[in-house]
Amino acid sequence: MARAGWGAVAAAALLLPLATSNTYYLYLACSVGLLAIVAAGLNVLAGFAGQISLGHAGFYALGAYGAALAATGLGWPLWASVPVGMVAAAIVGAAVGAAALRVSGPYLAMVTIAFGIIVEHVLMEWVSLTGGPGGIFNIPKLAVGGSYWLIAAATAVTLWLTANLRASAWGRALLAVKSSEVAAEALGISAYLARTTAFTISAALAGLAGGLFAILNGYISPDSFTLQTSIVFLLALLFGGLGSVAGPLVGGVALTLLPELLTGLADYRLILYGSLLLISIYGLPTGVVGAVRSRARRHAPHPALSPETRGREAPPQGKGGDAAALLEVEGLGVSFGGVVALSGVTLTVPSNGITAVIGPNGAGKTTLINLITGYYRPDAGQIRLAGEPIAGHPPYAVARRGVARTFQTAQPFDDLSVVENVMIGVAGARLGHLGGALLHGPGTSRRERALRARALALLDAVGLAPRAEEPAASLPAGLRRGLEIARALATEPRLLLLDEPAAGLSPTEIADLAARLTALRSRGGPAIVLVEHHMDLVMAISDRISVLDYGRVIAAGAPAAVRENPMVIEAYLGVPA
Amino acid sequence: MSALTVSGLSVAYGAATVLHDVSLEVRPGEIVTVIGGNGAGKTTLLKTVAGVLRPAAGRIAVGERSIAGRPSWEVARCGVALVPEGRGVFGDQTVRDNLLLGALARADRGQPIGPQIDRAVAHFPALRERLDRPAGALSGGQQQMLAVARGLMAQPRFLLLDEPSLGLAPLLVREIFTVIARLRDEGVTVLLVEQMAAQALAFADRAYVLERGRVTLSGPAHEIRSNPDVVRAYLGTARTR
Amino acid sequence: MLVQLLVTGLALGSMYGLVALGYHITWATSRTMNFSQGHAVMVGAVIAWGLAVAAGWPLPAALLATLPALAAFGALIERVAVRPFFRASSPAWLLSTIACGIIAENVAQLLFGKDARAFPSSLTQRPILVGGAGFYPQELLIPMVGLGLMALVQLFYHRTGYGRQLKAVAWNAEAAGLMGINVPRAVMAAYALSALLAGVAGVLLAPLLNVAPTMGTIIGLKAFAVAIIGGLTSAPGIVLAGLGYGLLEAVVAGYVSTGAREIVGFGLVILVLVVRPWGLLGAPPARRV
Repeated sequence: MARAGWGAVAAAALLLPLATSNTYYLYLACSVGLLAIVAAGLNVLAGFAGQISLGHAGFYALGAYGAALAATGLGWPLWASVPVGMVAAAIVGAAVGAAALRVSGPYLAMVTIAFGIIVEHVLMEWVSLTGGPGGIFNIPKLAVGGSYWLIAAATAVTLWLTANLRASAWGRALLAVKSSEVAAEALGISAYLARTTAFTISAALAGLAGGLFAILNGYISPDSFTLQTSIVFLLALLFGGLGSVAGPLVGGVALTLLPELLTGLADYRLILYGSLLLISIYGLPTGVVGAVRSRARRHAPHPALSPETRGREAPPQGKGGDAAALLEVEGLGVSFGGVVALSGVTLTVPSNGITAVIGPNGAGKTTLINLITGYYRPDAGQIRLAGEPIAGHPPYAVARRGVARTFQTAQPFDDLSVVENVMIGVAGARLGHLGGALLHGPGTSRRERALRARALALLDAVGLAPRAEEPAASLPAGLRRGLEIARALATEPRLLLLDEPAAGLSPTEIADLAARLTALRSRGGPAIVLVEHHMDLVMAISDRISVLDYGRVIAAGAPAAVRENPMVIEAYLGVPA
Repeated sequence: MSALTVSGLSVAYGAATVLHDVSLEVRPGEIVTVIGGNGAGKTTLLKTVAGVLRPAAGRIAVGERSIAGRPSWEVARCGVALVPEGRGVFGDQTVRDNLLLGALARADRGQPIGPQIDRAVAHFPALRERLDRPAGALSGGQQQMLAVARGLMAQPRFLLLDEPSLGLAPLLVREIFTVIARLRDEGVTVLLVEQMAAQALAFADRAYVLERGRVTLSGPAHEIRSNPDVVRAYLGTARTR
Repeated sequence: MLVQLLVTGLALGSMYGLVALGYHITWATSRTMNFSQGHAVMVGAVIAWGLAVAAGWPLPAALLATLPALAAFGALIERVAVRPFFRASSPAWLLSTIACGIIAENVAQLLFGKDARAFPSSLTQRPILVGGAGFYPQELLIPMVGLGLMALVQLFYHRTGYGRQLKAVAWNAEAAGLMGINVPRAVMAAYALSALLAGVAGVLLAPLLNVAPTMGTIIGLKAFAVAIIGGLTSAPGIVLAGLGYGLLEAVVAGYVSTGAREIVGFGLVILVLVVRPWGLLGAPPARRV
């Protein structure tokens, strides 16, 4: 269905200049294309990476002025001046993205708004360069017909690039960061790098559209690059459908044609505009494309799993081999808001086998995992992995050293399919060449197939292969945990930390889990740290147990010894009546 | 006085059903405990009774009055007070202000508030000395005490306690349980959800065992305590030595 | 010159602070805000103008009637544009509040006309001359009323039962519901209060700036900048940031140019956020794992 839809769009785009010679209609069609390009760029930022921008008019302006100045000031030809604007926008986009390093939500909205306003006012103030409020005239322009073909081609290429990006390791990484930054970092993905990359791509596309805008009109002035323009860009994307490849095109059409249809009602234009917007937000929370797709999905059969992708069992191999201590935690302490969560915790995990950490709720077990994996910074103490200190390193850096984890509440990337979730783990920090991802080079296809095959094998091992193509959000709780473990193992870790993997599982599922963990151990898989309440499971499969109570380790040793320890019995197992 | 009854209760998060057909009853003056592992649905049960979550099916009633699906602020005013897991004290406000907020839901708004605060903190000397300190500056144990005292300010007919022992040192756990026992002696009706099954069963009147969202066992607490399955799964091997 | 700039800066800055406090109030209670907060400034000015100038009411009566209208406007925004999206983590409320602002602007255009109109006030008739500087009594009144109102808001929050309830919702909405607090109604009250503060700023500024349907946009943006610089979670930070921003603006506009004013002002916002991502006095959000 999607293929037919794209065919129809392409046919319409090709036939339009034949059907009409009315330059106004062609101009409108050009406007649709420009808006679609900016919205597609914004889609990379907001739809994939989850960052809203209210300042894209600024990048649009950089593209337009860059191209206009190159063409008028330097006398460069069109094919050279448009890329000038695009590169300028990309460089500034990277800088803005980097500056917005730690901000999110309304703070990020503010950074982008401020950026847009600064650009607008610089354009007005720097008269010698930009012509001030009067703008730049006499930009060499193409006839409307020529512009039409150029812009139509640019729009097609842009949509193709974003579709490629979405289907690549980079696209998955961006969506992972959007869906759960915490889980993405646990797989070695730097959320900062992902977001800055998205910002750069997004700004470059806005710059491209700006350059094309300049040569379409032959005249630009700051009036075209206000906050209102930025809002229209965002509206086009949200109306069309955030995150979908076709959404920007649909939004571009709607937001270009709507004002045209309302010209007769000039006095009520804003009321109608605002009301339509409200109605679309109420009625179409996922945009037009999202609404159409969810209707179609209800009827579509599940895509069958092709037989050759199944069943290639490839056991994960541990990277470390020696029997010495893999993880050493020494005197670890942390407190939050004056309340001590952990103090003086010492723990050694050898490079193989299962080490359980037990203790009452709130004893600090999850905090310990968060400290080891870099989510919290310890106030005191040492954490060494294979002899090297890792305390205070960011989560993605710890993950890249071969530490994988699961979360107490499983955090699959809900926007992605089950198999894509595991593919993110397989790829880890190795996202490949960004250009290759955008252009879908031949190497990319091969790599994708390898990633997919590996991911399917891992899913098969946990019995999830039949649901590989379903969205992760549709999995029930027990399977979400299975998916998360498969995803963690996909990174081929040396150390795997499991945070209450048995919580909420049925006895059969717990037995499966126990069998899988012991099988992993006997295959020489990663060292496992198991935080768990389920005493049957802990006693059955652990090689060693450490008991945490009130932020301290009160006992450690073999299961049988720990079980008899009177302190453990009092703190945790219960006082015999 | 009327009982708190739950019958045929089912709760779902999106596609996942967390509680299946749960029924239980809390009669005035009783202490009833619900035990079960992490993820069994204990907290979901209390939150649904208190109106924080909406049930997918089933009936929740105080006496004859149905409260299923009503928002939490209305349930609170029907005499059901939940002391949530993790305490939920208002850290930027003083202990006294926290207690005043707790009193919003009491049925008799006319009586003077001062003596009521005195009564609520009577069990908790540490709070009495810190009435004008911000609640966020209290230790974990003191915050738990405050959460219970705040729940009492509503003069509830049913006090719902969600894992009051969470994150507390053994000594403090014992203290909390002593307080709950004393409340029972004063006639407060308590529905207690606990992971520390041994302590909870030690002084509850009746108990329910929740496993994977279903009630698998119920009865007088002393019977549940000696049930071999319960001993093995929740009380640890320590008791069978 | 400098004295004049300082007076103007304090007057504008206190208004930015007042409007920005509105962002803080709704953000604190609901983690949402009205992105068309500036339009509430305009609504206040337009209603007051309609009553005091067009209908000829005495000024105090006009002001008294404007206040409930503003609260109703805020409550309406909450009901229409925020509550339906309260739980959704999507940015839908951001866009729906923008949509409401667009509609409000159009309605004002229809009722009021597109052109700016003067709001005559006895306090802007004759400037006071101090040395070489001249400023209007209104410019002295504004910071006094502004700071007074901000102090009242603080008193309301920290000394009254209703303020306690709003604070409780802000700290932990779920626990607040368990106390018997009607959380949606509290959020609506926060929106009403927020619009009220913004509208009062509009009424106070009207005699200086003239009244127009578009007057709110830039004030709303600058107030947003102030809220972000000060820290959305910190009322004192916002008040200080408002005054500082107003002074900086006045000085840059006076000694450099009005165009440079916006560049320096918004450049400062980005700079502050690079160094302090949660604003000067804001608290960083706890990382949930």
